[in-house]
Amino acid sequence: MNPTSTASDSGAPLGEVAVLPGNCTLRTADDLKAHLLPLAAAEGVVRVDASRVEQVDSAGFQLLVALGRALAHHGGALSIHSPSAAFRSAARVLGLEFLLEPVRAE
Amino acid sequence: MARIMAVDDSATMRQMVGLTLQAAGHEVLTASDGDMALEVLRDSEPVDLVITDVNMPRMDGITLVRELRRLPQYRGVPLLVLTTEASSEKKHAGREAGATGWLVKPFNPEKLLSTIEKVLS
Amino acid sequence: MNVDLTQFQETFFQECGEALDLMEATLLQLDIGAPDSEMVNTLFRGAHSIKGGAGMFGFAQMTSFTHGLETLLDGLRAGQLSVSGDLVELLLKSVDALREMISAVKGGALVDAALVDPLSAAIAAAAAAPKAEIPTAKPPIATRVPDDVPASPGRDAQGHSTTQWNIAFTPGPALLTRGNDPLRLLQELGGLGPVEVRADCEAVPAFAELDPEICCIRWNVVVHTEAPRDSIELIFDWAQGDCELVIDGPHRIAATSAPPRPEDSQHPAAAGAPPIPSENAAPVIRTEPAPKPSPAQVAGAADHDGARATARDGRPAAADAGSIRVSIEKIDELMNAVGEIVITQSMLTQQISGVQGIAAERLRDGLTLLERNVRELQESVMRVRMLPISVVFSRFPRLVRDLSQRLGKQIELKVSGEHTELDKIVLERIGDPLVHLVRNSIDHGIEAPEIREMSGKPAQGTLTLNAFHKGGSIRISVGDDGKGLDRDRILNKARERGLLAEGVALSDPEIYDLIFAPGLSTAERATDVSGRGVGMDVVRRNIVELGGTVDIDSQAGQGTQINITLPLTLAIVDGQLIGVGGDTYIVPLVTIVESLQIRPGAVSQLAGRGEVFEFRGDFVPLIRLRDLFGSKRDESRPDQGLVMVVEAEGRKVALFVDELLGQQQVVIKSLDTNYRRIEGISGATILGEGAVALILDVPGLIRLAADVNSRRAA
Repeated sequence: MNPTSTASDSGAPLGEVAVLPGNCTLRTADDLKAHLLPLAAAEGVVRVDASRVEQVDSAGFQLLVALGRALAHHGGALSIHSPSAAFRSAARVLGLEFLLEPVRAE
Repeated sequence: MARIMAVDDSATMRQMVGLTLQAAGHEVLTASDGDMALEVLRDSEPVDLVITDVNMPRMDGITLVRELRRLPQYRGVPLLVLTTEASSEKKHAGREAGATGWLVKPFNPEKLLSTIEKVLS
Repeated sequence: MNVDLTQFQETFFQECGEALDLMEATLLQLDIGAPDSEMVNTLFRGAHSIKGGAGMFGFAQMTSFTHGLETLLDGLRAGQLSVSGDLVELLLKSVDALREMISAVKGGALVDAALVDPLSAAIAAAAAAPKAEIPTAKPPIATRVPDDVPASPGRDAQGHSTTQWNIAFTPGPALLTRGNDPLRLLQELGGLGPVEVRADCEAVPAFAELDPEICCIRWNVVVHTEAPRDSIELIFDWAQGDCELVIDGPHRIAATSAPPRPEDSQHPAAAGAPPIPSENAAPVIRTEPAPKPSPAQVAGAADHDGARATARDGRPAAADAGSIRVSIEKIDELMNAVGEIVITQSMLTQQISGVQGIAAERLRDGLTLLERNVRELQESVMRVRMLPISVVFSRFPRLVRDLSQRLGKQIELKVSGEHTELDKIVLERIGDPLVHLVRNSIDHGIEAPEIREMSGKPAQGTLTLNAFHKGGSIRISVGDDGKGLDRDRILNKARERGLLAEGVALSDPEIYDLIFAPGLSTAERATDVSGRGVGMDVVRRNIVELGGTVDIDSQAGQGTQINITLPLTLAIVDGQLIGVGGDTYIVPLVTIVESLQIRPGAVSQLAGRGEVFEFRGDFVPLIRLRDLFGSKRDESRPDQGLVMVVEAEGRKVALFVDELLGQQQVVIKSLDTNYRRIEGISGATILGEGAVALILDVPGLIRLAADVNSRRAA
C-alpha cells in the first residue's frame, strides 16, 4: 500500500556500509543482488544496516549468506547492524541467526 | 494487511472469498475470469496473493497462473488454485503452470483464512 | 474469526436461479447430434458452480445431485457421450429438480427423496452409458471432510515433547519461484512444536554466480511434536516435487531429556498467535472482533444487504419488514455531519500529539477508538448510498438489440460484474456516458457482418460491459471486437483541426486519447446513432467531473476497449499528504505509482517535451509543483529531491515535491461551490490542525503537462 519507496542508495561510501531496503524478497532479489555486488569484492569488514527491512525471505537471506562467504574468502567479514524485528525473526526461523552474531575485531 | 486478487466466475464464491478476506483486514480485488484478472494484474502494482478458480469462461485458472508466472513481478508471489476435486490431475496441472498450492472446494471461511494467513505470513 | 455463511446464501440462491435459467435456455438451443462445445461448457459450468456453492453451505441433497449431473456433463464435454433428445429431456428435468431443491432449501426443507432418487439414478446411468462401465463412485462431496489445517500440536502439559522427528529439507530449483518460501514452511513446522533449525549453506554458490531465484540452502530440522507424520507431510504438500524431503521418525526420547530451550523454539503459529511477533509487522486485524470494511469492501459486497435480510435458519426474512425509504438529502446530511466529525477528531488527535503523560496516553487510546468508530460510521452511511451497477446495465440489452437491428449488425452483449456497487450519485451520472460509449461501439466499432467475415472474424460481433472494484475505485469497461481505432485518421483529423502541431510524435495511447479532444469525431459520416454533437469530449468531461478517469485501449482489427475508473464515492478520498513550498497538498492515493528519491542525472531536458524524468526505462514529463503553484523556486540542485510518479488515464507524470507527509482519508470539499475552479486542483479539505489543503487533480495535471509540452513544441 505504501507507495513510498524506502530503498535508497544514497549516502553510503561503497565498500564499507550498505543499507538494506525495506523489501529484501525474491521480488526484488535481482536489484538487491546488484546493490550488494560491489560489496562482494570489498576487503575487511562490511557493515550492512538491516534496520529498514520490513520483508525478507529465503532469497534475501541467501544473498546475504553468499555475500558473507565471499567476504570471508578474502579474509573479511559481513557485519549486520541493527536488524529490524522482521529481519531478526526470519533469521531465527531459517536457522541463520549466526549472521547476526557480532564480528570479532581482527 | 495484504492485497489479494480473487478470481472466480461464481459471484457467490467471489463474495464469500472477498468478504471473508476483507473482514480479516485484507484488500481484495476480484475478477470473474482469468482474462479480466490478467488484465488487471498485468498493469498494476503486484498483489500479494492470487487465489483463482480453475474452471472459468474465457481464461481458466491454470492458464492465468501460467501467464502470471511469466511476469517478472509475479515470480515467487503465492498463486493458489481452487479445485473442486481433490484430484491430483488438477493439482498437477496447477503445479506445472507454477501455482504455489491449492485449496480444495468446498471450504469454509475459516479454512480459507487459515490457508491464506499461512501463505502470507 | 467466525464468518456467518448465511449472509451469502441469498446471493447463492440468486446465482443458482441465473445459472439454471441459462442452463435451460442453452438446453433448448442445443443442437442434438452436433452440440456446440461452448454450450456444453456453459451447462457444465452451471452445474459446477451450483455444486460448489451447495457444498459450501452444506446443502447435501443439492451437492450430491449436482455432482452426478456434473459427471454426466463432463462426459459430454469430453466427447465420451453423445447428445440425444432423451438426454436433453433428462437434463431439463434435472434443472427443474434443482429449482425445486433451491426453493425447498430456502424453507429449510428437502425435496422428497422419492422424486430425486430416480432422477439421480437416471443421470448416473446416462453418465455410465457409453463405456458401459460405472463411473468411479465418489462419495458425495458434502460428506467428504475437507483436508484441514495440520493437526494441533500434541504437546504434553509442560509444553515439552517426547517425540522427535528429524527432517532433512533440500529445496529444488523451482521452489522459490512457485511461491513456496522455505521461511514459511519452516515457520509452519515451528507451529507443530519446539524446533531446532540448522541451515546448511555449503551449496550456496559464489556471490556473482548466485541465481537469486534458486534456493541452495538446505535445512535439517528437529521437531519435537506428538503430531503424526501426516501433519508434517501436509506442511510440505504444496512443495512436493519441488524439494527433497526426508522425514525420519518418530523417535521416542525420554521425557527428562532436555527439550530445546524455549527461546530457541518458534512461537507456535497453530496456537493462534501471529507466527512471528515483531514490532514493525503490519497491524494484523485477525484478532479484532468487529471487522471494519473499507468503502471498497462495503461495495464489494454485492447484494450484501439483501443477503443480510435472510434469517439464520436460511428462511427468508419477511420481505419488507426491514426496510424504509429515506430521501437522499437526509443521507447527505448524515454524510456531511460524519465528515465534520472526521475533521474534529483528527484536529483533536493533532492537538494532543505533543502532549506527554498518562492522561494524554489514555486520551490518545480513546481517540484511536473514536477514529475507528467514526470510520465505521462513515462506511455505514456510505453503504446506504450504494447501488449495484445493474441499475444502469439493465438498459443495455434492449439498446443493443434495437440498434444492431437498425444498423443490420449482429451483436452479442456480454455483461459481467453487474452486482458491483457504487455511489448512487456516481451511478446516476455515469448512465449517459455509458450509453454514448455503447452506441459508439455499435455504430463505429463493430463492423457489418459481411465485412467481419471478409476479415476472418465471426459475423456476430461481441460487445462487453464489465464492472469491478479495484482498490478504492470502480472500473467499468466497454469493449468491442470491432475494427479498432484508426490511428492515422485520428492523427490527420487532429492536425487538420489544429489540435496537434506538425512533427510531434505521440505514443499510441496518446493518439487514442485525442478522440476525447473537443471537436474531433473520426467517423466518416455521422449516423443518427452517435457522432453528432455530443462527442467523446463530453463523455470525458462527465467522467472527470465525477473524479474519474477514462482511457482507451485499441488494436487495429481486434477491437477497442474503453476503461473508466471512478471513485466509489464523491465524498472522501484516501490521500497522501505532500509538502510543497511550505504548503500541504493531497494526492489521491489511487493515482500514486511510486515515490522515490531522484538520482543525479535522472532528470533531463527532452527536445519538445520539456523536463522529463526517467522512470522504469520511460521518460515521464516532470512537473515542478512549486512553479505551478507559484511558490518560490527551490534553491536546491534541480536534480535532487523527491519525485512522485502519478498515473491517470494510462499516462504518467512525475511530480517534484519537497516532502512526503502522512497518509490519511480526507473529506472532499468542492472548490467550485466554495470558491472557484482551479486548474490542477480538484477540491480542498480541512486538515486536523484546521488548515486547508488542496487536493491535486491528477488527470488535470497530466493534461496540463501535455498542453505545456505541445505549446513548447508548437
